[in-house]
Amino acid sequence: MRKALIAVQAEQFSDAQIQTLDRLIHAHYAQHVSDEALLTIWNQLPKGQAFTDYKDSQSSMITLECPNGFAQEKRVRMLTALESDWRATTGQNPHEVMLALVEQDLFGTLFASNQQRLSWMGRLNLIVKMIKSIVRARLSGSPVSFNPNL
Amino acid sequence: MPVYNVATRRPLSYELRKETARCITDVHCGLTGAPSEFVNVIFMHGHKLKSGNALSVICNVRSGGNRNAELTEHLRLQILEGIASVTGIETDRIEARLLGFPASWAMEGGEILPEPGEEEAWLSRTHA
Repeated sequence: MRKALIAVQAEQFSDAQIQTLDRLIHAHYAQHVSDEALLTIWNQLPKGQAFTDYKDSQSSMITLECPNGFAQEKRVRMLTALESDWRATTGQNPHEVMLALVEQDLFGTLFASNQQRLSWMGRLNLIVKMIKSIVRARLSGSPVSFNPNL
Repeated sequence: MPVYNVATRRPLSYELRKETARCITDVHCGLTGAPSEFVNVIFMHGHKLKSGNALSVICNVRSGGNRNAELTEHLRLQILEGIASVTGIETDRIEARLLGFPASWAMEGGEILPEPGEEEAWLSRTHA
C-alpha cells in the first residue's frame, strides 16, 4: 500500500473540506500515478506549532509516494492537477501549498526516519496512536487524522 | 521546502518555538541562499527520543545545484548548534538529520521548485 503524508494547520479547514481534499488526493493519485491502494495520513498541527517564513504558518504540505523511476512529465501533471483542485477547495494562495511526489525508496527513508529517532517505547506509543487513528477513521468513514504530539 | 520537523520530549513554549524557527530559517537561508519563504519549521512534542536525546530535527532539503556534501554537513552542524544556543539544550542531546531530494519532485507556488541556486528566475515568475 502506498502512503501520503499531509500536514495542515489544525482548525484551518472544516471536516467537510478535509473529506473533499482526501477524495481529491485519491482521485488524482488513481488517475495520474497508480491504482494501488493509497493510505492518506493527515497530521493536524496545533496552532503555534508550525512556522513558514518566520511567521505562524498557513501552509499545507502534501507528500505522496510513487514508484521508483516515475516519469517527470506524469509527476508534473499530477502535482499541477492536485494543486489546482486543492486551492479551489481551500482558497489558499499558491505559496501556501507545497506538494511532492517522492519515489518509494526515498519516501521510505523519510517515513522511517520519524520512527528511527524514537526509543522503543516512543515507537510503541507512535504505533498505538496510529492504530487507534486508523480504527477511528475506519469506524467513522473519515480520513486517518491525528495530532502529532504524542 | 525545506521542511524542518522538530520533535521534543517536552513541549517548548511558543516563544521558544518561534525563536528556534527564526534561528533555523536564518541559518538555512544564510548558508544556502534559499529564500526564507521556502522554509517551514514544524514542532511536535511528547516524543520519547532514543539515546536520551531531548530534541531531534529531521529536514528534507533540495539536493543538487550548488549544494555539495560539504555544504549539507556544514548546514546540519550549524542548525544543531543554533538550536542548542536558542533552547539551551546541550548539543550532545540533539540529533539533526538532513535528507536531500530532487527539487523537480516538489511543487510550490504552483510551479516545480527550482534547482538550488536558481531561485531568482523562479521567484520573479511565481510572484509576477
